[in-house]
Amino acid sequence: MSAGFQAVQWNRAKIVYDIILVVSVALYIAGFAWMSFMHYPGQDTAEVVDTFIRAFGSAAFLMLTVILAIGPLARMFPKLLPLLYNRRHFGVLTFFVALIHAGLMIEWYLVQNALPSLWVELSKTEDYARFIGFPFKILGLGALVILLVMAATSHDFWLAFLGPRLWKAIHMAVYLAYGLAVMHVALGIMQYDRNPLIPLMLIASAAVLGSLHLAAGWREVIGDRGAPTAADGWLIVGPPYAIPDKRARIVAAAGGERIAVFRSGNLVSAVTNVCVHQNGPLGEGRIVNGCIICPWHGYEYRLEDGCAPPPFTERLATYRLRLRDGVLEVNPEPLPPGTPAAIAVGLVDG
Amino acid sequence: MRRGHRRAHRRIWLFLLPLLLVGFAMALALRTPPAPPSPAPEVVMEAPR
Repeated sequence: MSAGFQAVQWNRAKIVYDIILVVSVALYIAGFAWMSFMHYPGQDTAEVVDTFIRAFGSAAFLMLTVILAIGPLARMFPKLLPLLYNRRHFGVLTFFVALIHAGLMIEWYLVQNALPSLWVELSKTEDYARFIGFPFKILGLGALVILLVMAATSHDFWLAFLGPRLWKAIHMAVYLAYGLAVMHVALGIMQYDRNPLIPLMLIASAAVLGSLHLAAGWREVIGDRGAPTAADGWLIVGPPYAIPDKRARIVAAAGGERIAVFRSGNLVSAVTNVCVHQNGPLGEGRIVNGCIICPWHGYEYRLEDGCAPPPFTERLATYRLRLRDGVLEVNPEPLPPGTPAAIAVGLVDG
Repeated sequence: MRRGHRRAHRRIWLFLLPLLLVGFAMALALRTPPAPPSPAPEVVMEAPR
């Protein structure tokens, strides 16, 4: 969170992350080009440009695969959460790599004085009715436009302006971009080049992403099953000491949003599991200096009332808690955001 | 994440993955076979004089 506008919200960790990203991409491009020049020496200008088209194109595709793998990986392996914190920088860099790929494609036509051929290729309407022979470049262009919209709206200004729900919905288009990119490769270079690495790259990418998302999704389904309830509808959380200190236990009412029940010493508080910034899973965060820290981007909320500390103004819905026979229970009806609702429990740390 | 968002994530993959598999399999199966290598140019031997 930020009290003022910053073009890019860099900190030391993000600078290190970005340097690693840029150096990795540079090494990949250099390695790709070096191997190509070793295997096919004596390339003319158009062939050199073609080599870099492939280098940047494959880099963009692999980066998109990694970006889409980060979400489910971070949910299944919390140690990988730092990858998630800076995913937006990764996405913006992927857009620029894809943009260079597209720019080099135009350069390829230019060095052969054949730019009008590109227009002819894209405007042959009868080709759009074919499967093999489909103007695959239009698929890549579609993916590039989606990445452009995502990169342009990646700043927190747009998140605040559009609201988390719409912003997230727009950014879900990354899956469409991925689908377009897969078919751009399958109907493009895979048709002309018999290198088995090309279909292998597509299969491996889709298999890894599909299985990761389905595995993470299955865990979410289990998490969304309603917690047991008391006779009056309050959700049973369990003994307070079963919640690790400074951490939360997440419970959900059947069909309802998740609730994060935090404990800090003998103080227990229940807040919505949904961070107001980007809907991050607050219950997977921890308490530092009396504040709940969102694991995604570090937004902070006071434990006792769910309010962000001044000068910030974000507030979370809180929930009433009670202790009955040593068992903590939470009322699934949310209180207005920022309502103090923490209770003290006389507990023995177990 | 909100419940609806989690559900959307799952549904997207349940649609996207089969679509991509079908698209990719068709693109692989319908690839035009590579052109046969052009025959070696015939070498005309000159008869010794």
